[in-house]
Amino acid sequence: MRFRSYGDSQPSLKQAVVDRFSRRKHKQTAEFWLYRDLNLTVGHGSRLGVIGANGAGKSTLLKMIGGIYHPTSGTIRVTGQIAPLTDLGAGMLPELSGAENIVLNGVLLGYSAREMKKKTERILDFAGLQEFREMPIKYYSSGMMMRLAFSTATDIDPEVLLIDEVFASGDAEFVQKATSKMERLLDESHIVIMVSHQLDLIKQMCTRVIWIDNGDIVSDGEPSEVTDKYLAHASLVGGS
Amino acid sequence: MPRRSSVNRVSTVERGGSVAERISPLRSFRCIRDDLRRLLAGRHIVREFVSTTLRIRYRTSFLGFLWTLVHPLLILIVLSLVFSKVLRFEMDQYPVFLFSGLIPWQFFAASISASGTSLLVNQGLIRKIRVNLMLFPFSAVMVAAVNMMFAMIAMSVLFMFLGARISVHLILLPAGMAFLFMFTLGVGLIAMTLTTFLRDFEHIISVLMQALFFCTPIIYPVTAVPTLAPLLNANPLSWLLAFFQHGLYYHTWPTAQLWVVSSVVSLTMLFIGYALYRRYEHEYIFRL
Repeated sequence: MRFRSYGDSQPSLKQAVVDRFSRRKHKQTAEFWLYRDLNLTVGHGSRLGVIGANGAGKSTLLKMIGGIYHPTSGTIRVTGQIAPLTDLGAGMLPELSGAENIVLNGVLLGYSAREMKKKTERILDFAGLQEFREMPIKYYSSGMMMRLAFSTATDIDPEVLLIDEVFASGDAEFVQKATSKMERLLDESHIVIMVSHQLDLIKQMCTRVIWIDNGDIVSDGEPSEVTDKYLAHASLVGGS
Repeated sequence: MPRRSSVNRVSTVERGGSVAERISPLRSFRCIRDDLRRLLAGRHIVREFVSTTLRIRYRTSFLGFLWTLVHPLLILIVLSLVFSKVLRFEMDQYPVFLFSGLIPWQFFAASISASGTSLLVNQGLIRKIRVNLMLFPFSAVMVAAVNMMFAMIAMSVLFMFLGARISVHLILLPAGMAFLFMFTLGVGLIAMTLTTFLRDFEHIISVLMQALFFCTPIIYPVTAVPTLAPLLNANPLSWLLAFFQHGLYYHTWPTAQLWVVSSVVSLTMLFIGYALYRRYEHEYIFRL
């Protein structure tokens, strides 16, 4: 996939015209290819861990699978309902209440409003936010936000679960609840693809690990094997 | 538990070939059908977006939902006072004429300005969750349509006070709305593409809208400025708005020419907007 990052975040008409004339061809555009010749097949029952340095392209891979980025050439075939657990709270609108946001997020994930309204109770229960359901979420604390987002996102019936470093913070009680919920989720899903920096978590939960570096798969295989290789590389590069 | 239909999603991109090839007839019919299906599948999202937008807009205000009626009413009252007392156009029941053109215009202008920035405003969402991008401008147009409905209610109340005539020509309104809706959606998609790629267009478009307003027979009839007739006739909105004016003010049936021009213009605009959208569908994300 060809990833284009436009250094100028405010592309203007004037700039476009000026660039055309001054023959500085896209000076501010960084263009690079990721995942050329990518051949990855993940089957039913797999739990794939994705590790790598920051900026290596792990989230991009997840986004490609999730349908946010489109491949420049080739095919990505996904069979099953995709549940993205990336950056919780992306679809939250600050002006709306907790309950309304639950419905909105669920609808974005593909459910109908009616289905979501039925699930709202359960989600609010799990998050422990029943009393705050009518309050606009802009007034929520960050912990409450996280709980709301997490509960909404994990109340789905996933077939393909994409997780991007969501094992973040929360209070102790909720973390326990969340971890067991996650484990149940992982058991229920048919395929899990997980990006994380917590290598012991990866080793514990995954059946297969790929190591991404510079936009390509560098290693692919048994969790302990690949994580060891990655660690060795990291200490080699960073340690000395 | 009822599952929503799992979609076997296959993303296939075949690059290469010119744009013309990609919009070749056979492929485009299949593509259009797929897109229509995707649009239908996204109807829940559209409904949520629309109701969310309207709720947010009026939640924090005192009058709340009443604003949907009061706001257009106030505008119409002010404008009709200005234009019938200050600037004179010799017309019987001028306010009726004004409103019949103004309300569809407001729908158009509001849709375009909202559609233009629809992707930019929602970029956080788009970058994280896979959503059919066409739903954003579509929702913007639907919001404007709902507001237009309320404005029409307010307008009918006002018309009763003004003693306006109601005739069978009201039947023209749905036809006019259908054409205008298609036209607006097309222009909205174009605006969205332009604005997402070059941010200036947000402002350029708003200025263009102002200019267009005066080039459309809303505050004056075509007959009042015969010298400008060619300009007015070149403006597709003059034709589309005429349906509303025929139905509400003139109480005459539109000519065949009007029907033909309106349908051609609205379908063409929709096609252009849609073609642009398909061409750049996968590139918007990089511009947000």
